[in-house]
Amino acid sequence: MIVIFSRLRSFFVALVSFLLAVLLVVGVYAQTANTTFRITISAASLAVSIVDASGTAVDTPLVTFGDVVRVSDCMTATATLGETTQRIRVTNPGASDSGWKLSIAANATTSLWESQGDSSKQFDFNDVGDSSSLGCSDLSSSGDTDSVGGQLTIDPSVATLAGVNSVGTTGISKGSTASFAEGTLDSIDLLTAGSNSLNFGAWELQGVGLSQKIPASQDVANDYQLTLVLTVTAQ
Amino acid sequence: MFRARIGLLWLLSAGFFVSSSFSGFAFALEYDGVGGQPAYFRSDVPKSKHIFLHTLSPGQVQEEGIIVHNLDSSGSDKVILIHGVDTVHSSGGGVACAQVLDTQNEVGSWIAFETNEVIIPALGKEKVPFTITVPEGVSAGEYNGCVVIQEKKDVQGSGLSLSTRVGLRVAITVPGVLHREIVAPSVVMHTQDDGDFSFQVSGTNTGNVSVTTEVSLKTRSLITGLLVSEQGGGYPVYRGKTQRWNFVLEKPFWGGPYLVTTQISYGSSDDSVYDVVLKASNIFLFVFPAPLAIGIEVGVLFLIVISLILLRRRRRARRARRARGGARTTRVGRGE
Repeated sequence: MIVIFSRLRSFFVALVSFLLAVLLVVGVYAQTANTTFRITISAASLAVSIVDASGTAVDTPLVTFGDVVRVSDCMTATATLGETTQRIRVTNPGASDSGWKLSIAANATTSLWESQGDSSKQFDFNDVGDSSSLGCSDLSSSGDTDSVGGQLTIDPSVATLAGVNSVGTTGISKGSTASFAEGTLDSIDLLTAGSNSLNFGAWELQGVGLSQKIPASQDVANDYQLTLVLTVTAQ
Repeated sequence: MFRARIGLLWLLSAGFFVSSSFSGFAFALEYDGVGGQPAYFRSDVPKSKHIFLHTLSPGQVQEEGIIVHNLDSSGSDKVILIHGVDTVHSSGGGVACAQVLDTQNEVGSWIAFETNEVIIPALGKEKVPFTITVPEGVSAGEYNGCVVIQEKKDVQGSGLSLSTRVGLRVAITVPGVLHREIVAPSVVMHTQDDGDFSFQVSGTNTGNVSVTTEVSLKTRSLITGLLVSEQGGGYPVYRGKTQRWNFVLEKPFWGGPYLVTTQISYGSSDDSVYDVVLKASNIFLFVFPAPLAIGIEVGVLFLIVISLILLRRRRRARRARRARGGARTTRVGRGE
């Protein structure tokens, strides 16, 4: 008798819970009975962006090099591309299942670091330079078309690659350290994803090393600027 | 049976509630920027979904199109620039999309857009037609370029300003004698500052078309025979290029001797799949164990030695007891 009563009680408790759940859902839907749901799913496209720690796109991303004191010797300024607040994010929403490549280059091979206040103050980013000046002076014989020295080195091997929302990084390899050389090396690979990389996901790269050689006694200015372009290419 | 029915009822009510509660949400990966994809997918060429692939004779004109997307969900219109560009040398040994401001001498100059600038509303898209014209006198082989899409923006501030763009590869094959060959597979190992090992695998394309390769780098323990790491993937090697790929092997915790084997596979023709296998020299690697691993290994060794000593002592004691027991029996038997 006790057993039957216990089973009946369990049955009624479960039944009441089920009815309550149904009533709750019906109630919610009743309130929104006239709402039309509409979802737009944009077509898949490979993308690269600079985002902050919360994943929001940074409107005007900028890398600032450490200050350099003007001396009569070759100078080197360093910086980091892909700070915590400016991460490089590549998104592949199934847009390139045979792999992709992320590379970086200046917006023209003939670009120069140029003072915004005085355009006559310039130095180069892709001149291999004369070995006697530690690679800081102009070396036109190397194929460089301008008359100023300076070279930018990018080292993605020291960077950290991580998948957004713990997406795996299998099949994605970081590039090696390399220096721009006009006509010989105009683009530097940051990441290469093979066909075995995940076809759907987003990845963030942080901490790419930058090192810029500046010619000896370069004109003083606090507003030198160069534009680099990050390109993600479907392979 | 009765309990099962009650359980089912519980499950039903819970499942109904949970599924109803979440039905209004859509899980999506959010990102901003611009993007594009080929407008015309050909089912017989799967890659045409992502890149532009054509076989065109000299003088032939190909009608094409790209669907340009404004992926910005913030609700603002974007002015998007679209251009055809050449490829330039890239640090990995391959190629990358050239810059719009540079002079286009090859595929970049073969591409002509009706318009290079479109305004697209947030989350909108637009098909932009273009043509690819192969000039007369171009020799047989594959030629690569890119269609690049970039948002038009003013550069601000001082320092290194960054802009982003998306490139879609344009691969044009001019028919004739096409040669596919990868040579000189090699692998070079370096020990990193953090103790991990980096491997740079390379292969050279001596043909006149790009070759899709399958690169494999395997690390096997010579003590256990187990595969501790397998890396690689499928990567294109462009004509005339020596492509390099970097892989990192985390320092094996337990240490010991390891053998690293590397191979590059590719198809000798369009129809064959990875029928040519090239092997680079094997690398023998001895890894010193991590400090904790040494501690554990020494500890285990110590336990084994102690166990053996104890076991030996026990056996000796047992043997001695048996010997004493035997002697007593002999004495009892003799009536002493």
